[in-house]
Amino acid sequence: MKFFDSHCHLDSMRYGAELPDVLERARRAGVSGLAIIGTRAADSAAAAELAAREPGLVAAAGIHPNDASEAEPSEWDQIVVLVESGRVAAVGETGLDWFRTTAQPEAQRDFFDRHIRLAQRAGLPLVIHTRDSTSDCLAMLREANARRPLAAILHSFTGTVAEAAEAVELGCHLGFAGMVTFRSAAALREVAKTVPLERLLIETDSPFLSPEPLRGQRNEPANVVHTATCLALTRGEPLADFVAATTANARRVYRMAGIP
Amino acid sequence: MSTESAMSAMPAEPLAHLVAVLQPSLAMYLADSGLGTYPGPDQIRLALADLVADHRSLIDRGTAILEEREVPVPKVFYPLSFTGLHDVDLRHFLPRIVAGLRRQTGELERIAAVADDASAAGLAAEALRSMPQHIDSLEQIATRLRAGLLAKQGPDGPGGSGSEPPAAPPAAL
Repeated sequence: MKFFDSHCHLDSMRYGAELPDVLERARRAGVSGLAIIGTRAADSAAAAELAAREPGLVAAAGIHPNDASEAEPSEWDQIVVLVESGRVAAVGETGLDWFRTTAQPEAQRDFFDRHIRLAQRAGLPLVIHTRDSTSDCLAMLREANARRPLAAILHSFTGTVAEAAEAVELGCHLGFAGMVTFRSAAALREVAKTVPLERLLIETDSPFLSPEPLRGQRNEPANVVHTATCLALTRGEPLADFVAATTANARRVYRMAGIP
Repeated sequence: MSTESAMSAMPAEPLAHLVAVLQPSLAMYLADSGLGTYPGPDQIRLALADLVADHRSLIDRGTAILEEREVPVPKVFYPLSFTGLHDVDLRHFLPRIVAGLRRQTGELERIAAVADDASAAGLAAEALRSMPQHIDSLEQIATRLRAGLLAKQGPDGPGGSGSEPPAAPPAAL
């Protein structure tokens, strides 16, 4: 089986000298594809460099909504240059986060809009973070889609069944991370059951969100196997079919056709 | 489903009501999903561990009595919105947890006032006795945080989103 971790933050700033071991453990676990997602200019550039030298890896460049107030104008310029250079496969992580107050809502909306327009201009998918903000994100996506088609991934999805349906109707892919494996997350598993298989992605969001039975440890892409197993069981689908479908979905949305 | 809507569909049986009031709280969810994995000051972790230990003991005793009486134990699920809160700094949860405790206090007062179920009234009264201390403890931590008097601690490793952002790379989720 070939798994695809569709959203992780892998760089030497987070994993230090262990990074090669982390990648090796992922390969041994059968994780053949990884999308490394940037959150600032520095780690977006690092993600692009790593993706350029390791097979099966793609990168995304963006500024996380929680950093929208802090980012200097020059940092956004670096993201634009990176995207236009063709070295990344997606734009993000962007989105809206209404739970925390570290970034002003208006700054978040402004940055989300810039990322949307950049992704549309570059013809790349958009990687979206939502927290307490799914309906507002979907409203902005709907508006953007009316201008020009846009491929979007709602990562670490924790919205309702209705929001999942609306996102699917808008053409989005939905990524499910480790929290779907938690005993207490029955409601989220119910949501995951309703998402069409062709729109489902699995992810670790490493180094965050370690799945059961690894809660409390630093997460890494090899652990996507646990999330895949839980989701396949929840949905009543054979694991091999589920993994093949989610890997094909990730390769399609990250435009990896022709890349081994 | 919000905590508020969860509370609007409470069982009529007083003990079952008590279990359903205490179980689906944000504090219980944080403990259930690994309190030690959230970044934030240890003082919050310790205060929440105390709170959860008290409530868990009440839930366990209430559940045991319900089973003895052969009354169905309510199946309680956490609100879906909680599942999006992983790896957020515990400091960001304090206002929500305190607001939740105040709502629980109102429900517990109603249960304690029920005259015909001594077990339910007794457990509710016990919960009500400790509730002001838990609220006070969390509010004191919040005050000290605002005054910058608590160290910024958390689990080792990369840290989580919502912690004071490092220079680079930023925390993300």
